Amino acid sequence: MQRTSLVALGIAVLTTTSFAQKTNSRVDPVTASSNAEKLIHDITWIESQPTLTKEATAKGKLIFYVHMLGNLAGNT
Amino acid sequence: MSLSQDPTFSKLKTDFVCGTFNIVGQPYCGQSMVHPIDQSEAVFTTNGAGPHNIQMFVLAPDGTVLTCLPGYWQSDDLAGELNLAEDLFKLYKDPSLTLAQKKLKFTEMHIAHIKEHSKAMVKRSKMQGFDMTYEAKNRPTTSDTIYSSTGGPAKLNGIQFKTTDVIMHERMAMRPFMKYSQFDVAQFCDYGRPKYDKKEEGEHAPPKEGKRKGGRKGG
Repeated sequence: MQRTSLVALGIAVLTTTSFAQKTNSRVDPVTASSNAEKLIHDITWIESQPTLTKEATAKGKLIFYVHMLGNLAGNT
Repeated sequence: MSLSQDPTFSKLKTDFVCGTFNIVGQPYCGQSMVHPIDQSEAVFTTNGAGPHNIQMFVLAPDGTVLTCLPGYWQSDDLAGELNLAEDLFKLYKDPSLTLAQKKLKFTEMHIAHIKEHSKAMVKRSKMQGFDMTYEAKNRPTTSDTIYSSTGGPAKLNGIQFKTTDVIMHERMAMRPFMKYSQFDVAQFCDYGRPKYDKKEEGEHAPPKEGKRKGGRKGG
């Protein structure tokens, strides 16, 4: 059994679901990729925990930290 | 979890500092088939699906865990949990309470939030069939995912299971203001079998290993 990156969830799950749920169906790869691009480019995703902590402290914001099998870009 | 969809997307973009951690190699991470984003369709799934593959934390700036959602969560439902996390952060900063009082309140708020979930959210939070089967087979008397040992379907040996939104809050309630570095991820996200997902088991199931052509889970 091969281990996966979480494009499965990081993308399918992370990016396409709302549309899919409304239609109770599937989301085509083009839409899924578009949603993933939006997610990646419109939000800055930080991988360094110290940097996350530093930024959150400086900005007075909470941290949204996603553990995922893989990455948002879909690389396995 | 549909992070790219509102209301979650706007909330994350505006109010949160966001980060990711690739859990490949971690003892608690799941197993599944490869799902290239550009080669296959995505399908939607239920809240809490894939708990071993994704865990979404909301942390205070100092690394204190306010909430953690295992697996996929629908955008509206996720936004509601982000709101709760913000309320918990206000509690965490409250100078008028002792830490013990804050922890007690933390537990109360997580449990109370269960009652705020809409019927639609509860419906979206039904545990995946194969996860219930796994729990019924492997932990029929010890799992905290069990609502009742009777009254359920025969295929689950009569067991009725809690919904994942309840499981999540009950588990968080037992971990008040825990530091991320001390958070027991493996135990927290431990329900169901450690691989795979609902929609791929039925008519859309992928071929066995080495024969897969497409079809990403999650959605």
